[in-house]
Amino acid sequence: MAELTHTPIPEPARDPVVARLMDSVTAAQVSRRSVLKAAVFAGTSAALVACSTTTESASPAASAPATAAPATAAPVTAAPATAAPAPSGGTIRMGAFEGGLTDGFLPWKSFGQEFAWNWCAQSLVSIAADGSILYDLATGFDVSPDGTTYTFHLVEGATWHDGTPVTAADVAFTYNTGLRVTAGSNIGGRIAPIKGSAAVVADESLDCEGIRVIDDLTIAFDLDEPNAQITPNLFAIVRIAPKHPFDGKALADYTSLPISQELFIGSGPYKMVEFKAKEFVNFEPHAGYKNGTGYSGPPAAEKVSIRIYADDAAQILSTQSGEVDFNYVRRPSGDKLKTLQEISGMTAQQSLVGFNIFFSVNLHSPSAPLLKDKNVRKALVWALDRELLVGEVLGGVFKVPDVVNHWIQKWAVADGLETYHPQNVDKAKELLAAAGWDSSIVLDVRHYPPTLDPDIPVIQAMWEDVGVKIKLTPLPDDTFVADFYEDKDKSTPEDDGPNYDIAFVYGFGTLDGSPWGSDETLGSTRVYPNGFNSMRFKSEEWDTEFAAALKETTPEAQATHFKRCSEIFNDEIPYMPIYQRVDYAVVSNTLKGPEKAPITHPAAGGIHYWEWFIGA
Amino acid sequence: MLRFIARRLLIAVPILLGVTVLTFTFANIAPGDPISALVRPGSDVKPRDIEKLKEALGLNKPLPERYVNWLGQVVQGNLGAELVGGGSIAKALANRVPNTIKLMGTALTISVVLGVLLGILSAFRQHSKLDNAMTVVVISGISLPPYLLAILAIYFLAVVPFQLFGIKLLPAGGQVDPVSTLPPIVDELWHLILPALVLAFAGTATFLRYTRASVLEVMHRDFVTTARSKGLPEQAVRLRHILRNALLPVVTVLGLSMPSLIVGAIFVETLFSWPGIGQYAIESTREHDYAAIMGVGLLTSTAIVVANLVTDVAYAFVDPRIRVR
Repeated sequence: MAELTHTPIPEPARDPVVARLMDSVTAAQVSRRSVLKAAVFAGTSAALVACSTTTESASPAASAPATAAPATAAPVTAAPATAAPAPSGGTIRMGAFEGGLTDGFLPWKSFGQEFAWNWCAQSLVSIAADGSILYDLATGFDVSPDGTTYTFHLVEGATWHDGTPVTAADVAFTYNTGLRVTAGSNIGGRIAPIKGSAAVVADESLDCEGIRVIDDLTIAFDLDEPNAQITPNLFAIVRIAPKHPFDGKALADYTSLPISQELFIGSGPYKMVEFKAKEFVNFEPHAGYKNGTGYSGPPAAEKVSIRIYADDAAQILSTQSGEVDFNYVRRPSGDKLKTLQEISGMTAQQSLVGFNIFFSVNLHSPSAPLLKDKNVRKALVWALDRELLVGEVLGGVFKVPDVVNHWIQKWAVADGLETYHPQNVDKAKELLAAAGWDSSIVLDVRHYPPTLDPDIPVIQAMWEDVGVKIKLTPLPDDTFVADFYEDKDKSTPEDDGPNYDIAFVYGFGTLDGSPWGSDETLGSTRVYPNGFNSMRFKSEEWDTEFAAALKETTPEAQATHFKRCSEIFNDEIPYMPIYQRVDYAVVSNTLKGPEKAPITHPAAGGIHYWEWFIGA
Repeated sequence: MLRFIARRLLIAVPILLGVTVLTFTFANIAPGDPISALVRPGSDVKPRDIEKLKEALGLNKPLPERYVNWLGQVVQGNLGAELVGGGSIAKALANRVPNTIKLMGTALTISVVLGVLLGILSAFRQHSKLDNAMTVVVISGISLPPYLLAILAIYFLAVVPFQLFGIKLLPAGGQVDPVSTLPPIVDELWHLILPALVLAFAGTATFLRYTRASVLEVMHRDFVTTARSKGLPEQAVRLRHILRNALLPVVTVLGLSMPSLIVGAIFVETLFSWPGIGQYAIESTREHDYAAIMGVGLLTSTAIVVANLVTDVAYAFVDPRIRVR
């Protein structure tokens, strides 16, 4: 059996690329990392710090994290060969929200650096929002017939920003270091599917046997078993760091080295030249830039500068004051969206993010056992007028999905799924009656974020209209993870689930709509702390189908299994996604480049940043 | 005087220790921790990694042991490393303290100069239109929260001029424009104007109120009447007798203004993206970075203790009625 080869076919023109990739995406996808929301300590501590009688707490940063996603290497989804960009020039001024650049630059300590990495660092591949693969440091990769070995071919002649050649040893160093907690790594879980990774975790002096340098431009990764989501979950996520700055240094010192805290040395289109922590980072073109799409040469803009804001109000005011050409605003309120849309000389573009806004049902031991009946769960969705909620209550900043799990990309979703839309109160009442619902039951509903968003009381009223009463309680920021996921009754050996019947949560889900990573939330073995199955959902068929998809090596075969998964989810709705989060990118009319591909979360890849420039 | 200073310094030690104990306790008993905050679906930090990461950061040790370890490091001049970013806390504070001093120093200077001058004028022209206007300033300064004032200032002095006329009158935030072509000192001063004015506003009102009240009180004292009855010119009465005595209490207010300045700086620095210790305190608190919170707490409480000491000493120097035994 021949090996599958994922080598890009160079194309002479770049214009049709995006359209072609969009059409050919039946395969890959992206998963992305999450942007975490920092919780805020009590005002007492802030006041104490300031030795003052005044107490104030910082407003919590908006949304919560997302689930990763994705995907698989699409066979022969060619990466475009791109001609030198023309016209070009200008200084791109960008804004970054809280979380950006606060955590050092080490790729194995990967949180919040995407804003900088997008411009200065490369991974082996990255995956665009449409699922297509963009080749960064790799020109292509092969998968062995049994799906357990991935061999990447690196770009010839690529250099680090200090002029040192990029080699496979750098890639091996990066992935090996990702297994060493002492080096500050928190991505060990992503690398776990590679053979021998556990041994390195146990003994950090070892190198991973499944990471093999074949020659300077070739590296192979051996997996314990076929795992089709390794590309989107690992190879497309981890940016590659140079080995030489770390030579001779102790692991424990890695996080404090200049490459971590001062100026990162990457191989991306721009070279980091000035960095002030939590203030700004400036880049200049990397003359020796090369990527796997065939592009070679300096990028289009003369300079890139990223400002960092600690507060979303500051971010919006700065944009209004003409200080940036591009700003990405997470889940703005209706009022803030209006403000963004009114900024002269800029356009607010929708960025469809796959984050779920959903109800998580405690299926294990709710105080209302009838919640275990899927008809009751279905009734709760049918009772909602989501158009009203999104349009009038939330100011149009969310989107009602076409089907309940709409933001799983279409290639992985079966046809004819139930939409649960538009609102059907009669159907909701019928389902409740059929289930024997007792209208005296009061469901214990927790909501997150703890602030009462305007849609929650309206949802409460809509449920009351069909005979479902609820009691609302906030889930506090600081204890959210424990409250939301954990078995709270430790007095019994069995898992009693969390303390609520239903939790309404903003923010989790896949960033890009890929099905990869869904096992973390729906797999029966992924109950916290082994994963994020807050519902305690158990479906043998779902588990079997998902596992089968991971072992397939063609998108068509994977899609068959994922479609069945989507049918099970759609019928069971263990969690009830009700609308899709929409972020906004505010783009200056003079910034050219963002219009060439869908705007996505800055953590998402597949963007041709080297083509962006300031034009007339 | 030396014995007085030495005694005050000795008293400062238990005060600072007490503050660190309280800060450490409150920061740690607050729900959540820097590792758990990183755990979310899709995050690189998985629940099963929590204990290992906590162990690596020493967060699994008992609270008293962690405090003693921290204190031991501090005594040796080491504030430790940030739990979240891994960078040196001392270095982070060293980078940020000058920025906060610039902001607070400028704001304090504006507050004192404007507050004292306007307070004197207001008192000498009691019940005039100017005095009434100053009363409005005082009420506004005391009642307007810095956060709201900052948003209003940015909106009217940065956003509106740009949106209506395309003029960048004042920047909305930051300490510098990363791509500015101006000389760095000019660029920084340009960025300093707005946050310093906002931070100075409340202080100006306070100094104005105290100065006015003090001047009015002294104006009606017997020795002033005596001076006038002796035929001294009014200017001499005001300068030599009224102001000289009336301004003494202002020295006390100066020292006591430090805590409110620090609290104000927390909000102003955050909203103006000014990279000072106030912004650092908020970021560390959001990230549950106990080590960084402790560093900020120790620094600010030390600053306040020192400010109070300096005030007391200065007061003893300027007021001949006070004699330290």
